[in-house]
Amino acid sequence: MTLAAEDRPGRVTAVRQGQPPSSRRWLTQSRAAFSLICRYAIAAAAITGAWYVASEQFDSPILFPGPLKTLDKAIELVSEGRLQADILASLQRIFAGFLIGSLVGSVIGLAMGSFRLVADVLQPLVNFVRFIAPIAWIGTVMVWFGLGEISKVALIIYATVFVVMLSAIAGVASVHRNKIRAAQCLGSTPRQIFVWVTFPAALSFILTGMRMAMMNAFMTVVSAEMIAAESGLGYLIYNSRQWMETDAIFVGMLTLGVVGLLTDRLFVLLTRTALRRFSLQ
Amino acid sequence: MNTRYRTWTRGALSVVATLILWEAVARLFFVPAVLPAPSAIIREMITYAATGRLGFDVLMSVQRVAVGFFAGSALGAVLGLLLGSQTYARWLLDPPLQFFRFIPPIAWLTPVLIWFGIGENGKYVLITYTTTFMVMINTYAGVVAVQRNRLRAARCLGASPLQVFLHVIVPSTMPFILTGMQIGMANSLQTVIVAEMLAANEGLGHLIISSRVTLATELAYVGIFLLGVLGLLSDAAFRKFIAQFAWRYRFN
Amino acid sequence: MASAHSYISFRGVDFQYTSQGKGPTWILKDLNLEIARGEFYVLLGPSGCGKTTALTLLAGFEHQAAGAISVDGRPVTKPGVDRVVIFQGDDSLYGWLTAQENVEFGLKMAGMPAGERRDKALRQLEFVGLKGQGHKFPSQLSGGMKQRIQIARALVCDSPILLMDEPFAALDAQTRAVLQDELTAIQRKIESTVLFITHDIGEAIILADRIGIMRSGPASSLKEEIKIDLPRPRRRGDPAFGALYDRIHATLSEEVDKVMRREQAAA
Repeated sequence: MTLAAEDRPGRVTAVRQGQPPSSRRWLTQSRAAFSLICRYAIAAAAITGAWYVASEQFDSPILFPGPLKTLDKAIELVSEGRLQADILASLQRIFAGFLIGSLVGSVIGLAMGSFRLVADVLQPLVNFVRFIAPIAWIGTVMVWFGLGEISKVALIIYATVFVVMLSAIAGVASVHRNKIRAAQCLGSTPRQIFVWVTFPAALSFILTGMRMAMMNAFMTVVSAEMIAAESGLGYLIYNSRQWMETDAIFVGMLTLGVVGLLTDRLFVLLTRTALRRFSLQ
Repeated sequence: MNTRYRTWTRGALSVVATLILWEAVARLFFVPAVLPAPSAIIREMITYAATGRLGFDVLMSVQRVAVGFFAGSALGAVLGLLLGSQTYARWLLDPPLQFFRFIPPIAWLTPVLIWFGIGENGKYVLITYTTTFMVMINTYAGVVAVQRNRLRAARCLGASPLQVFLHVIVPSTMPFILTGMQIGMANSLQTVIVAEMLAANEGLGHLIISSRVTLATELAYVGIFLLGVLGLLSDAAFRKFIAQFAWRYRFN
Repeated sequence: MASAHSYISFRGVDFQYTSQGKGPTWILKDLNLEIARGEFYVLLGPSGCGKTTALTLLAGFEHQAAGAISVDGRPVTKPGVDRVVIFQGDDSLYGWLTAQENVEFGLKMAGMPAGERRDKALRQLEFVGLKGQGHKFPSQLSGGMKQRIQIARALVCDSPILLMDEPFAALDAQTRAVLQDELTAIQRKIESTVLFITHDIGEAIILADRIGIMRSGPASSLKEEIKIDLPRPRRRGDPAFGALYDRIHATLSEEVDKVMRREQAAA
């Protein structure tokens, strides 16, 4: 049995001699990135190989298509323009809902964290409603907003709001008392304290919440598209069952993984560069 | 004491006010098919419950989630512990896991329907997968996060690698396993609803979606309400369980 | 240094970290150290000089690149109950176990029956001044009490060597002074060999039979050794204490200056 990350020579707990010069740091980073890419490539090759062998053994392209057949289908879907259209449809829904939901969620969360009255009034409602899966509202939103895009965006707002709200509340609660006291004795007004101390300190929590909410948004959009849509990756995955196009289902699922992963990386990259000083580490 | 009393009163007032406002708005401005009043929803709940169908729907959903949740938690904890403590397995399997994390479990519904058909087994598989994955990922992160001095202390106190695993790594990882189970439960409830909406003739998901077709909107709200109750109850039960049996692992 | 009576020995020990892409950094280079049986040896040095690394190597958590480390003539290859470590922070205590269960941990690993290890743990808890506190969890105890648990957990194993890695550094000054006195008393009763790491000169003089002062890193080694003959219990007000303090302070300052000059050059 090998123990977790323990006592491997070369494991560095603290680099004490300061940062290496920037050119070497760049080299270090690119070398680390290269080894990571190699690792991912090896893992991907291993999994694809296993998939190939399994599908050959199973020998039923309809029930369990192999990687080659899936790739063929992917190329076909791309050349028809269908895959791009579905990706775009899903992403548009997610981004609209995610942005609005994050904004609303942060505002309500910050208010609940800062004002006792708001928290007391909203807490019991939130604590019930947040346990209802967003997709349960699908019928309701279609009655209210019709069969179009607004319904799906509304569901994603719902899926995003509560996660971000809870993170924002936790963020406000986490602000160390001395940070606020320091601001007070340096002459800040309550409003200044909120703008310059509470909000920036809570921001890292909000960003973490947004990252989690993004996963929730993906889950909701796929569910909504499976149940009631004429486009999007969820539609592709569910609708292909009618024609037993399992390869198209696999293409849809893999695309979901790729799109989800890239969106997450992009979000991390953006927050690390633009909002670096607010992130936790 | 005083603030707690105030919090409670405000909360109760807020719930009552919301219900009254909802009742008024629904009666004055909307037809029941668009926004039914709370009183109509309650009436509908009672009549439907009296037929015995409601209890059956709830029971089916609960059963599906429970089977998948318990199987998935056990499987996920074991897999996560093994994966976390095997350096080579981790090296190889971490990248694909990070990838599969971004495929929502519900996307597996279609392949599962093709492979297992429309019966109960498919639903169990789907919910088990949902929970397993969440618990495994969290457990695995927990194993990697065990403080080095905890491991070192055990080793210099004479623990064998197996003892370190059983007496240090497993209990240290406990909070992560429990968190994974909590997230897994929430995700399972979402997954089961969608699965029931698309491929079942009973369960809360089916109740909600079929009521839409028949324009029995009150009944859909009954389903939504009960879903919230289920979520709330399972969360409360989970907290109770931790407070009763696993509280010592919460200290870190 | 007569190696004839040396119990713990470091001979020509080198150690390096290889951080990713940065190339190897030498932490220790040619460290030589001999500690006699029953001796209280304090390693003193500026931060980052590799004193904790030396302890880590002796504990068997990591392995030297070159040279030999041995205890009683046998080379150190892996961690063992004959060299129990008392860590600086409380993260080595098991939060899900009570104070008493923490103390029992080593005995349990060795397969001692529950009743027997309970008795031993209770006696040990009393010995370190934690009588009646055994049922509490580490999170309910103060920093000083947590360090006492660590000491009890090590002592209960009858370990001939105690490795103490700045165990009192995170405590407040009063608690630290109390624990220093208690450690002196304990050490006289049990006659273990102790390797104690610190950056606190006063603490070193209070506790040590011998102090080893290390050079500033990287590639650190022993700069000077000083034998402390002051009678125990030692008092900080003692003029001899002050003289020793000044002497060690002067030696150490040179090393600290080197570090600061290097940091300024790097910045």
